[in-house]
Amino acid sequence: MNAPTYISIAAAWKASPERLDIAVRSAVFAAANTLERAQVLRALSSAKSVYSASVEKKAA
Amino acid sequence: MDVSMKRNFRLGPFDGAKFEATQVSWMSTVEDLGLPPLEYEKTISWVESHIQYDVKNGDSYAYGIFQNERDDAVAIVDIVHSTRVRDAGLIKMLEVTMGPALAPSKITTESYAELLGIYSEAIVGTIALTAEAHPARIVKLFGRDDDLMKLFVALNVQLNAQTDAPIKSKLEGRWLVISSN
Repeated sequence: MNAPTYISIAAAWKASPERLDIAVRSAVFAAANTLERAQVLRALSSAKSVYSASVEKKAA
Repeated sequence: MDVSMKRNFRLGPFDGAKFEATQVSWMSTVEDLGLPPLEYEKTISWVESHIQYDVKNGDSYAYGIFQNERDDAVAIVDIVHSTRVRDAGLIKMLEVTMGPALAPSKITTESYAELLGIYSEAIVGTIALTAEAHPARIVKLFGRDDDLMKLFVALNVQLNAQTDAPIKSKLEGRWLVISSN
């Protein structure tokens, strides 16, 4: 059986890192602009310990 | 807000000097700003035990986000590289922990834009890791709570609204899955 064909995200990065960077950066800022600032702050700057994330990772 | 800001933050591995610089900088900032030190001390301790990048046991790697040529990280990114998927690897960005200078109580209009720039770099830098350090087909971002999930929902819309973008995304449970377009 042939392996599935796909363009990996690694290939997309190698092909055009600048385009990918701009796409992500633009999307993050645009997404933040659709939400209240306080909500974005809660999402990005909570001081949650990475220990908890490791526990969640194992459960995922 | 300046979306077109230069990519002046870079995700990268820690070495001994960068770890030490980050430890000193974070603890000094915590003291200067009068922040509770415990969570930051735990994060620094966690970093120290997760920067052996040649160990491939499925555990997390700690990467830093560094501004320009500085050695002290402004944020820590918790990354797991899985090679268990049948046809290709995947890389998970589990958590981005901002440094004490970006503590919620210290955010200004200027540093809010910086916060978004750093989070953007966490995603871009994780994708860049797939090209060499951690070969992978897709990148998954973990939404640890409802606030982050709301941001993921908005981010998913924005990523897919860019018809000429080299990537696309989808939501799978608490994960935002990013792949090539």
